[in-house]
Amino acid sequence: MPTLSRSAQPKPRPPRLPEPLAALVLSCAVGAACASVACRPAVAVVEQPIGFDHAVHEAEGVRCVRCHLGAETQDSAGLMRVERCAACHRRVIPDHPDVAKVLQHWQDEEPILWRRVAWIDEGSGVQFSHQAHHLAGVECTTCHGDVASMATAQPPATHRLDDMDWCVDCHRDNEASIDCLTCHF
Amino acid sequence: MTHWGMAIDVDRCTGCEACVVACHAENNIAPAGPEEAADGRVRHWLRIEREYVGEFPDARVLFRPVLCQHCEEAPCEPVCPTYATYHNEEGLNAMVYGRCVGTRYCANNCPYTVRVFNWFEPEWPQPLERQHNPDVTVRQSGVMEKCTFCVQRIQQGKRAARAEDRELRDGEIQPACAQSCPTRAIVFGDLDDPHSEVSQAFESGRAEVLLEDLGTRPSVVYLRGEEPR
Repeated sequence: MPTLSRSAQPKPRPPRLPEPLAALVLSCAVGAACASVACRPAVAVVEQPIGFDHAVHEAEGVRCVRCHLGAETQDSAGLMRVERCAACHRRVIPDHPDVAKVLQHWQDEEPILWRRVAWIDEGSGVQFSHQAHHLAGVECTTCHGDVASMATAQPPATHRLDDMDWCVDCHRDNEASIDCLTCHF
Repeated sequence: MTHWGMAIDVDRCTGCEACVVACHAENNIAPAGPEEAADGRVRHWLRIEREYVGEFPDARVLFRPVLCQHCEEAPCEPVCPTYATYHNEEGLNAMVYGRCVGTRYCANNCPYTVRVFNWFEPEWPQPLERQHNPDVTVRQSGVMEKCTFCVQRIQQGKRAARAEDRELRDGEIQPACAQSCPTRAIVFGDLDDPHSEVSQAFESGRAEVLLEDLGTRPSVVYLRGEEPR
């Protein structure tokens, strides 16, 4: 008599679902035809209401977390309030035309409506934590690209932030958990 | 390794339903509204069941919060065609919304009837939409959902411990139901740690599981047996 006891068998790990055939064919075709970044779907260039130069700030020794306060300690990296911009800039080059706009926002108590550059689509159900990645030693540039050399920050050119393959490859390479519940809940 | 488990003291539960409310608030569970509720389509991840003990005039009512039992041999798992529900290494019965295609086999196979289906797009009467928990996905219509043991709090707790470079402490992670319980009837913790409060509750001799003869091996036990005061 064959035993029907399921408990005797090892628990199956959730296998990766087969990719839809269409996506597979498409990625093969695109990958073979042109692997260069230029062939990726064009991402609209993000423009901001006020010119903010990441490269200049980086050169002056202002680290990412000085403005993106939660990047090492919270789930969301966030962006500081205009008061903190003004805390430096009311003394540092207050006459620069872009800085003057910032100071005007500060005096009017009007928040600056910066445009978001990087996000993961809400429909994906991913609960991303910046803190977890910082604790694991992941640098900002790994996901966001070399923002420090850009004037206006743009989405990374080499990958999409909501590309799960890209996330999972990195998790596998670094022996991070690839349990679904690590990110999707 | 960690194995999450819960012990619910039925003798302490007063049936106040604070846990039900806390669960709704924590996990972005949409209220059903009167029409859907009348059709049996309430979306509680946690409900209070009544149990009458004894004969009149010595009768009394026991209240029993029933939630996903996170069974070791979960009947919901092998019937899912898309592996949207599976068991993870920490003993959690996981539910991945992105994989769910809404066959509802899992709910039909759950002997505890703790899985709820989103028949319609979830709606919150204003202004409840503004109190969504940002750490929990807002589900869409057509997917199954159920108690997660507040996995978002488990992940946060683990991160907090890692940030301070220490081990998790017993009782540090509490699901919303346990946190809100005024009589502290619900205890949550690691069953693999023999010193944890929940492990000792499992070994107290007062523990019983629901529908034990089905062999589902739940990670939730109910404590009862104290004499009424």
